[in-house]
Amino acid sequence: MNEQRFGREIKAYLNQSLDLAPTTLDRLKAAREAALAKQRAPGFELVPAWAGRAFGSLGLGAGAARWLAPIVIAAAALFGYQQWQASQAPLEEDPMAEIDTELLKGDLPIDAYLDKGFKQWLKGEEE
Amino acid sequence: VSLRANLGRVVVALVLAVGLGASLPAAASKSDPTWRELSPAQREVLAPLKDGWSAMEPTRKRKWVGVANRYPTMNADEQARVRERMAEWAALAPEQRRAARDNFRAVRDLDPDARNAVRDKWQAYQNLPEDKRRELNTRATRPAPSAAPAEGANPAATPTALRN
Repeated sequence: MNEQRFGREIKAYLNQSLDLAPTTLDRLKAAREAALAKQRAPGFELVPAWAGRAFGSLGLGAGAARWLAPIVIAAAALFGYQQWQASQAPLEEDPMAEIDTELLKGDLPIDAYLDKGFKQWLKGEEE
Repeated sequence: VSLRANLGRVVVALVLAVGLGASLPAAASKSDPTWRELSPAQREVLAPLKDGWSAMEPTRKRKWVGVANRYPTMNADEQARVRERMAEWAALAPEQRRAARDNFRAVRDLDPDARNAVRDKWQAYQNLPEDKRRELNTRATRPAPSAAPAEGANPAATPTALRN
């Protein structure tokens, strides 16, 4: 018996319908539905169980967790995002920076612009 | 609890969170930065001002942020001068800074020869005897009646900007 022929025979067996008793079919159907119901039961839980316990210990009742936890988490996320965004933006500058920078880096010291005697002397030299 | 019911809650929570988040003051204030909010580079340049930073008016903080931002574009001599003069400049009274800026602008706007002359004269002024400088100072702080007509008579003389 070669491999191809063996394959064809297996296929023929598998294609035959199962001839089972109605009671067996009913039991199989009931078992399948029970398994599916069990699988569906936990559902989708947004709030983890520990959050419920945490709220419960605060005296708010575990039910509050369902409402408060998403709000707190979303607010924290938003706050974090705002902080991050703010840290990326450059700090504001005052236009006075321009002239003060020039004055501070210039080759005459601050005193030269403050010394009234020097000013008087320059005036005297002109006359 | 169905997925659908939870989605509704998520939407409500997000709306509340946006309101909550928006009402919280932004910790990093761009117009009145705390010392910690400055960048490490800005803090390094402005180190002489660290102690007085928190008491400084927001306008002056923003001014110094601008100075620190221009610092990397300066040559080594300019950087050294800025660092050396920063504390002195910050310690001046506002009207002194205003007067110094006016005088600085006046010198800056001179033609190059006159500007160089002012620089040389500052050196020469340093070499004047102490009592001569004191005398010039007292003369400057009280009105000199004889000087007024002479000034008016020769307005073309330079540097006009330092005249008053």
